[in-house]
Amino acid sequence: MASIETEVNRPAVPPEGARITAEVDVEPGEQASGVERHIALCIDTSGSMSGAKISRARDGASWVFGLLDPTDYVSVVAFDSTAEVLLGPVRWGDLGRDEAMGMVEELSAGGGTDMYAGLETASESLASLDHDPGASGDAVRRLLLLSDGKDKDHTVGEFEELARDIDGSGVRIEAAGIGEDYNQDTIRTLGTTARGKWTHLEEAGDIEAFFGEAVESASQVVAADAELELDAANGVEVSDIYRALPQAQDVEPEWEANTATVKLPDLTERERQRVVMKVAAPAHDPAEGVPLVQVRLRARGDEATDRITVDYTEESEELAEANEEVQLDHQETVVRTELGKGNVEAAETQVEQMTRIHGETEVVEDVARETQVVKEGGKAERSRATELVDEERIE
Amino acid sequence: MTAVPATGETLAGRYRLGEKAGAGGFAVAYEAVDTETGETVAVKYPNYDSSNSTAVVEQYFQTEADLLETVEAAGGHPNIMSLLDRGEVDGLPYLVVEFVDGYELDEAIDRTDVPEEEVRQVGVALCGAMAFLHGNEIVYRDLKPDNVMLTERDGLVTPILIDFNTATSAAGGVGETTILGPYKPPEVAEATETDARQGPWSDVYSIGKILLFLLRGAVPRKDGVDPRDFGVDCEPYLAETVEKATRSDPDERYRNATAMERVLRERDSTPPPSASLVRQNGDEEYSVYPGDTLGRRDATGPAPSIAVRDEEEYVSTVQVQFEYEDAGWRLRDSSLNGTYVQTGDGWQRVLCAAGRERLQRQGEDPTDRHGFIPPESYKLSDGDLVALVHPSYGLTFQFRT
Repeated sequence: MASIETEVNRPAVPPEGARITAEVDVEPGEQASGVERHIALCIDTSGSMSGAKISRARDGASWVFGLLDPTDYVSVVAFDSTAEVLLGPVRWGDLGRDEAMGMVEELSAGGGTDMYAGLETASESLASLDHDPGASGDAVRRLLLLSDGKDKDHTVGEFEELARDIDGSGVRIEAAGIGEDYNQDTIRTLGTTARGKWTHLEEAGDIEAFFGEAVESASQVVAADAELELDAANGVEVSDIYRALPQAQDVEPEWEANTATVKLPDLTERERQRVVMKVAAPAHDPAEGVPLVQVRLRARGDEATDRITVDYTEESEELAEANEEVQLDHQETVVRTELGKGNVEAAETQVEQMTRIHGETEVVEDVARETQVVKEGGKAERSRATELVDEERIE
Repeated sequence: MTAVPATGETLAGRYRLGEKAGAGGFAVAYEAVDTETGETVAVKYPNYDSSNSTAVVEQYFQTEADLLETVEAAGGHPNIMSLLDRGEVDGLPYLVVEFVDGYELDEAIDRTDVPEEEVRQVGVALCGAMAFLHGNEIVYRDLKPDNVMLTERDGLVTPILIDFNTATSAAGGVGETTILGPYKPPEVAEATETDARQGPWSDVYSIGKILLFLLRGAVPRKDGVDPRDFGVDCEPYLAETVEKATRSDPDERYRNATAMERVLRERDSTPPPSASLVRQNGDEEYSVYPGDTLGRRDATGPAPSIAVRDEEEYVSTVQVQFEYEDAGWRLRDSSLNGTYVQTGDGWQRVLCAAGRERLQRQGEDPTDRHGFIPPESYKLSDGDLVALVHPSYGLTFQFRT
């Protein structure tokens, strides 16, 4: 059973109101039973993939086959100037490993990069499994994208729209770019929009681990299609919402009246999620425990609730109480999200602000260093900057 | 904080420190020369620069030192780093251990494909080291490539266990480790969530994963992994051994490292012969595999393979170990009070040296019924009776093959 916990940086605010920072931690809980995985590998086979990359992509597929259980489904889509389904979708138990490998051996590099067609085809292959996302015993569905090039015929906006459709069909995209020539905005947008992770792979040797991690973590999913509902009280404004964990990412909440719905990555065992936000508390007479935002987690039929509350007071001692960590978490997330986009200036502005408020604390020094690293670095550094460390998960 | 010595300095007036050999979460190691003997050794002391708190670092360091001392006291093992000296200078605890000239096991696959025969040899040696530890009431728990060095001895690739800071002993180890990894069996990874006890079968799982790593160059978190499913072309017995060793359910694995060692030696994945123990005046029956330990249930420390209930707590954590050699069974005592075997012509006391010395110190009689020093191990045949502590203690079993 998943649970949530809210925290604010200022538990007490003055009667005229204030802008505070809040965060919601989601503990996924334990998996009740195993899951059925639907995995689509979507592999770039354009000319630039030739050599080690395509050979390691084949090894990666081989590795994925080892990880599958007989009840899982798999498909393999290759794209270059066109997209082609090489395998499946097929129930793994109905296919021999040799047969599957035979089809994957056909992966060969040549031609352009129609990534859009690749994604569409992979998404259609999963859709052809005729899975009802609302049904009990949901399958966990993943599209694993690997590309080293740019799709010159489609804009980032078009990919975002496609990713939204794919996400809407219950499929999460794990997106990896390899090498230096792919469009990182596209990779990032795909992963972020379809609630997966996005990442940069430095070399061909990293492909296997990327595929493997995505497929193994899919087996640990507690609830697919989870979401947080943030129901703001009258006069309360919620803004600047980000995902901090598992990866620093922008969030585009869906608003309905004063309620924001934040879609979450699939809840996965041992992977805590954190959403951070700003909350503008309106003027209010002194009172204790005034609810600002009702927070509700919906995850596969389960619900968990908590509230973001503050005390309104004029007592300066109470007003001075501060939970700096919560504010730092938000600021760090903003910095890391911007760094992921390569927006070094925006990150620097935020770091300056953090230094002014908090001095040179460990977190501030960390993000300052990270900003410098991204400034001097490239795609690898940008991708790495979005990975926040969940301190409590480390011994 | 204590000042720590560095390269070029001499520790305790004896060990001249050379290059830093490595630093982990709990200890720093230097290559050093023992100026008294001229031998190259390794000197370890707590890593106060790690991200762990001083108290945690010192606790882990202490655990490692104590366990290595236990290993030495039991005669040491060729696949376990040997402890040469232990001391403290100006409040800084240090260990002097054998210097292993080789490379970490996880670097092995970067060098070249590891031949299947070498994988088997490494497996046999690791099983031997683990069986030795299990017989001495130690469960290693955190066996992974970084904790093993590979070196060459007598022309054979030889693994040496080099880290002992997360092992547990009956004397009590450090708290649970929470870092997850593909080498950890579910009962260790989920220690806080399930009641499944950790035991010799936990280390069996890790050895299985290490063998897969050597064969494939990577390991998944998945359980029950057959190397052939990951594209490894190897002999069926080896693939089947890895698959069985890495099952989720401890009952489906080889019960202990001795059993797995035998399988690798024989190149036959079938579990070795088993016998059974049937409680007299009771209805419990236990299967016995070579290498199994029998001891008291719910004792502190690692679980023996066969755990029996003993409210009065006279039975040791590891009371006896069962061995199988040349088609015959033997019982080896490792208890404080002794074990008795009835072969038809009366009860024969079996008692390990440590137990005998203890009884002597307490002024008790450590001899057998003939007034002789009792043997430490004794042959077992079908139908023999085995009595823990004393034939009148009420924990008597019939041994059946």
